[in-house]
Amino acid sequence: MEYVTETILLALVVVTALAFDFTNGFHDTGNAMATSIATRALKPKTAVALSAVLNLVGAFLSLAVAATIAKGIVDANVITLEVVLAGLVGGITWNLLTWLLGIPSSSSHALIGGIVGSVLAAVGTSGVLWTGVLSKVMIPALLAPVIAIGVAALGTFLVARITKDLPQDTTSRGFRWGQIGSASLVSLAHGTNDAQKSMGIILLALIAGGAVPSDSGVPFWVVLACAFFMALGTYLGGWRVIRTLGKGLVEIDSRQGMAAETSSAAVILLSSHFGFSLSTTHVATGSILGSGVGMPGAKVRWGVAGKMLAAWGLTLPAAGLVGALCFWIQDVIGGVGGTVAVFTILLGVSTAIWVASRRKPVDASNVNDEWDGEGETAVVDAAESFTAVAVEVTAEAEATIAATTAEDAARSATTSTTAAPTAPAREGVPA
Amino acid sequence: MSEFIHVDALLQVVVAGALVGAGLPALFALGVRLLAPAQGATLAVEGAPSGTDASPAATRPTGLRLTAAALCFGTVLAACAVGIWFLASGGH
Repeated sequence: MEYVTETILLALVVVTALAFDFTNGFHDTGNAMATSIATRALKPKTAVALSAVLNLVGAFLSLAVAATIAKGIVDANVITLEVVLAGLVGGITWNLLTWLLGIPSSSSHALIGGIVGSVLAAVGTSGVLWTGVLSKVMIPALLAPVIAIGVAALGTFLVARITKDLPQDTTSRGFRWGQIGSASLVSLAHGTNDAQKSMGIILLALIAGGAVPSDSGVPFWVVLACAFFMALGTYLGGWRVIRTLGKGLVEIDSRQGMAAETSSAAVILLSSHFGFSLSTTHVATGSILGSGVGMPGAKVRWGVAGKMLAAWGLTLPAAGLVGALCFWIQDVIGGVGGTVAVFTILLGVSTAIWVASRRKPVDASNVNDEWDGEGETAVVDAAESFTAVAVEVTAEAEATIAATTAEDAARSATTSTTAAPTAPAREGVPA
Repeated sequence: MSEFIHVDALLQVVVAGALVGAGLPALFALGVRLLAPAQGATLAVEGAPSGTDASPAATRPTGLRLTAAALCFGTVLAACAVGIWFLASGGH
């Protein structure tokens, strides 16, 4: 029985880590490709396909940083499969919610937030290294956009000056190429850095579950699976986030797009070179803002930018709250039932968010539509979606707890435990 | 304070970021400008080749401009190659 429990837990952690990997690709497509789509340097579908291929290639480029998950942020000794699962659910939930609202937010910060939350729920404040949280997460999150805005503004200003007296149509063809090139580098960097995070989680889970020896490298199927799901997520394209980045912040032309993506690529690569890693999302968003600041006469929608900053501030506590809640539910129910319950909650929340997103779909066909007054509707949508999600989750949690309690009493086989909690999730879909 | 902010690393990122992140787009822009067909007096100082009076828009860039543009784009491409090499070598 113990062995079965461990195996199920391990399998669910691996599946959840791949789901996180997927949302990571999905959420971050816009970092690289939003500007190329907005300036029509690439057709929307071509852009996401290119980005997907480069993410796939990027994932195979290097395995150097795999196996460092939340290092220096939580005490490595308290990380168990249960903690990781709850943390992943927190990260995925935040990624999906921000996607629904069209807000670019850092996937790695969401994951860290989820894990910090579940560690807090597991062992209390002693498991969290607060200095690490401040110096590796909070402060870089504040500095990244400032640095990126500065660099991109300077770059855009120089480019605008140099090409001032050239006719727009001669410049835009050249700059589109530059834009595609620099965006490709950002995609490649994303594939390399972010796919490795998921690989690291899965490797840790495999080691903790005893499936591979503790000194094992990343098995090839893990590399392949992570690369594939990230590329798939990228290809499906988080159109809502792409729209905000490409159209919402700044009206962008190809010169700005080229300057912004070059600034993103340079700051991301240099920051990891100097050991001051900055979030791809924060840098990319800052760069796009900067390209509006540096362009004479360009208009920057600071209201949209402010909302993003607020979301970045919320990332850690919000993902942490979900992570803590999931760990607590898992712990209270215990065993396979607890794990399955958390996984079911994840399915329910994801479905609810997806259903909410269909009310006002954004896809390749309308991603470049004019941006007007979407701020207010987004907030109303947000309130509605939050309510829908909350109702869904509560219903499911109750159903699952009820089902599992009944299970425990009956001491019946695990098969019905898996079947029972899934049913309410299905029924919840049309609501 | 330095416990929370690695000032050295931060400064390096800012300086190198500004040099590379703003310098490369400027070089690229310079390249685009050098390759752009010479228009009017402002850009024709190097002397346009003879026999192009009929269609000034189609003026080919001179050898000097071409070389300079190639240098600009070459530097940009080289920087991209370094970036990819950096990623492949583990990103440190």
